[in-house]
Amino acid sequence: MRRLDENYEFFNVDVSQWLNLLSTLPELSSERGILYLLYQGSEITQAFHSLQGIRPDLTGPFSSPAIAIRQLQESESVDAVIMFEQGLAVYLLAKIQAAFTPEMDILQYLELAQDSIDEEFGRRFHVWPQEFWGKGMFSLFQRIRTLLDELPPDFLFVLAIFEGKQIWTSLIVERIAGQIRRITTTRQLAPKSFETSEWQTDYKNLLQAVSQQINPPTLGFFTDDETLRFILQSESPLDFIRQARQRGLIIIDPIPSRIKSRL
Amino acid sequence: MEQNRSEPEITTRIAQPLLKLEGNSIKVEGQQLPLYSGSVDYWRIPRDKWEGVLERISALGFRFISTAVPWNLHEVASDLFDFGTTDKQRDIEGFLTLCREKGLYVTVRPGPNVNAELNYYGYPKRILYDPEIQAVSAFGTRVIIPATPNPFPMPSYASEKFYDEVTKFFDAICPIFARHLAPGGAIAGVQIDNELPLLFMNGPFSADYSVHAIRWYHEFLEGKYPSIGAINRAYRTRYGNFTDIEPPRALATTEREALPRYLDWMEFQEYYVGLALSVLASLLWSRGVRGVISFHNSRNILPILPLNVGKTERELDIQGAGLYLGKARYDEIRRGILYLNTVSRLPFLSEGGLGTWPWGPPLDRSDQEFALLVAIMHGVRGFNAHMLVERNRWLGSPISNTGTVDETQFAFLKRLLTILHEVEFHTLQRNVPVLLFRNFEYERLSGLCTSSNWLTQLLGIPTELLLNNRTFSYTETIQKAYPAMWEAFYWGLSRSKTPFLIGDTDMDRPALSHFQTIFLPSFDFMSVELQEKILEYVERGGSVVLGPEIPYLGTDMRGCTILGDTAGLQAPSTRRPLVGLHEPFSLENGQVRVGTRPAGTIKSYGKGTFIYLGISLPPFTFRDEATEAENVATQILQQLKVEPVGDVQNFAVDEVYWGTRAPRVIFQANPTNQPQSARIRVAQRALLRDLWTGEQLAQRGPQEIALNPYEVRIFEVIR
Repeated sequence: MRRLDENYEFFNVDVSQWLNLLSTLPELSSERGILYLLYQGSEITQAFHSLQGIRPDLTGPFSSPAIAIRQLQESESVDAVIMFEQGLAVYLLAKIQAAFTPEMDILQYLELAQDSIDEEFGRRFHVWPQEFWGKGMFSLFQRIRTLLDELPPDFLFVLAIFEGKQIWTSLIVERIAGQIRRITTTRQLAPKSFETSEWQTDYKNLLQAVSQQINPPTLGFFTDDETLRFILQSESPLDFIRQARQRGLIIIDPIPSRIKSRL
Repeated sequence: MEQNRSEPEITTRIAQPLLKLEGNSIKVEGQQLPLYSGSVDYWRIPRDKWEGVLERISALGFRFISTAVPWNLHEVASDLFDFGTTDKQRDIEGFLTLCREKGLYVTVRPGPNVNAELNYYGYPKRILYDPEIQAVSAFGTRVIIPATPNPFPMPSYASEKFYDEVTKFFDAICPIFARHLAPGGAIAGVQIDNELPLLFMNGPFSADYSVHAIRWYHEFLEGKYPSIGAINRAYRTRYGNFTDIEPPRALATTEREALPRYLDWMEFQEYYVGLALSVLASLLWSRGVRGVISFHNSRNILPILPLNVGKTERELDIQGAGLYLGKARYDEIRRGILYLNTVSRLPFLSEGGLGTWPWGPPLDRSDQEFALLVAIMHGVRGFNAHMLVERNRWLGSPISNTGTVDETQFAFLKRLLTILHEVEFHTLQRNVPVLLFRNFEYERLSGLCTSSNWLTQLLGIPTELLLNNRTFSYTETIQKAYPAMWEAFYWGLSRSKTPFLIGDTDMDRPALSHFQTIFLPSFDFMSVELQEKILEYVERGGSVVLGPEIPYLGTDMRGCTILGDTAGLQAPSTRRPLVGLHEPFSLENGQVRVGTRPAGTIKSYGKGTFIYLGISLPPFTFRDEATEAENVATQILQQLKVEPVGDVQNFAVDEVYWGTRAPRVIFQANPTNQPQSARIRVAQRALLRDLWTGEQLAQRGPQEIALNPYEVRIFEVIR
């Protein structure tokens, strides 16, 4: 089953809002640097430090990947070590190209890539600390997959994050029969600018406009930029959302019963 | 609905005057028009809004637009095409007529790949799943392009059946195009395909191993080598026929003697791209679409192999480039434009990004405006604002698809076009004495040694990690040492404020004569042709700065010391000295020295000079660290009497002085995130007019100019 409609519309997207939304995406970055290692047999053949560049001094024999990544993370004082076998990238690409089927959309193809990498985790692909891997780009696909699996096949999701009286970012996503059909922002609802005096009450104007001009929303999520940052940094986002909602810092309206029961 | 006709009635236009590229502009209907253009996709704009949208474009000052004509939009069933009979959105003929009425010339993009964020990039899905048409990877799998929303198998551009299918579309669309060619009609140009090297994006052995491509591979080898004996000598093999030769599927050697076969595989990919464009062009020409400007689009601002600009411009008029880079990537933009200035007939941004695709680089308006100004500053002579008019799967365009405008972007573009026309920017020239060579022989080797692909890029795995470190018994790992030396030359020239352009080793001999000095990274091997070309250039009076090695092998990896023997250059037998604080670089009495040690030579040859640098430079990551490279370049240029241009006290600010005898237009760019100032050098009585504000500066003569972070200022010099 496709996740993205073949004729999906991405239109009337506000540039500033879109850039703000992209700025919230997880990045595989770190302050102390990441050490990337390529190995063949029992020898490290290439080493690259994200802050220092190529490190030829780190190449040479090692006992086992599991030990090497722990030792190097400590001795080099880096945030993470990522180590993989020479030829793995070419092998993985060949594998997913062979497994591709014409019905697949891009999200499914990326999931296929993610699954192939996961299969190699701890075998030909090693990360230390292991949880570091969950911070990268592939965790984003995992989150999208989880979110789409959680939500019903037909929904219209409205997200608005407010900064003072302005909308800092917004997103309107419509899914029909399990496939995303429309991606847009409040610019779709122009000419109304949705400047608010009190977003906790004025968000209803936005819901009304979406109802009138697109379809009745099935899920609305509204908060301010500061609360969003706390959510993104929280180790337990669901717990944080639960508490913030009780304090009126987050409004979820309408709220499907399935989600309500978890909050 | 129009059935495809096998023998379309085509108006021949051979006898009529053809459009010409002349003086960095297109000569059409008695006018010399610089190629400033904007993208608009007629089929994505409501039919009743076409007129309003075109009027907005004209109001900006554009005389050209570019439009995609997607195959899979017009092919409504196999071999059945609709050009507006059933769906007015597909009325290409009506659109072209309207453009003509509005005084707009059009460049059409019939693909077959148009991308346009369209499903299957505009190819009909039915052809993509035909095994006879698909490209094949080294593992025998299909080559999947990870496109949104549908990944798809890339067609083989060597497949005859692929061209049979393309011909059906061209048979249908070309009669319409032919009726609308300029002069007389709106069509002034045609873009042939789009980003064709996409097929090779997954590394040196990603594609194309289809039977059709292997046939092309054999034809390429037969064209390159006079006999099977010659190839056996180069490869150290005993093949009986060219068709016995298997293409390499992985880099399975550590021996340099085995490399010629691999380097040929890399060169074959350039041949493949050139031949595919040539076949597509001939299909259009033979159907009456000729006499207009033809071009292709590169996805990178600095076209990289296998897209060889010299080779594509043998088939087409212009190899354009795409620009989607932010402020922080100033030097990538600069390099691309300095290169196109040298090797292209018309340095042209076929996609000068105004707006971006949804999953594209997160660029804001200030990024895009800065990037476009930087490209113009360094010599782009034409650009296509892409997308000028917004459409599905795009964001950030100046004009919406219903014709409303973003006032700020609109004002920027209007002012820019006014300035360019006012100073006749396309006619301005400047003196550039120095050329920095991209050495394609080493770039092919570097390309061969990488295993980066879209998956590793997505994971954020650095490409440097995936560049293997085999030395192949050379003095050093050329695939790593070459880019390091090239960077040292680039930053040395940049920081010393020397006007220079970037060329490549495929440039022909007459083109080199425009330059006083060439900087050429050189290592263990160099082709006979290149060694001879360099010798001839110096003999006729040019200067060549080369190093750190004197080549002693040809590209067949057999002994070849023409350059060193003829010019009397010899690499020192000792380890190359590292230039540094305590071991300074100097040029004295015909000797290159590092500290007290000899590290190269200055040799006269014919009417010119060789400067051989047998040195190592300390590695650097940022321009601020390239002090040694600057010192080396400055001393060499003083020796060769090449004058700097601009403010040598502040290398952070970049300047370009346009005008040959005296500056007429001066650009200053601040590519940093800090305020800067730099001195403009003009005659004492000269006045400066800020072209953006229109105001004349109060003071006459040389003066200090303040620049905000990421700002480009443009001044006209008034005498």
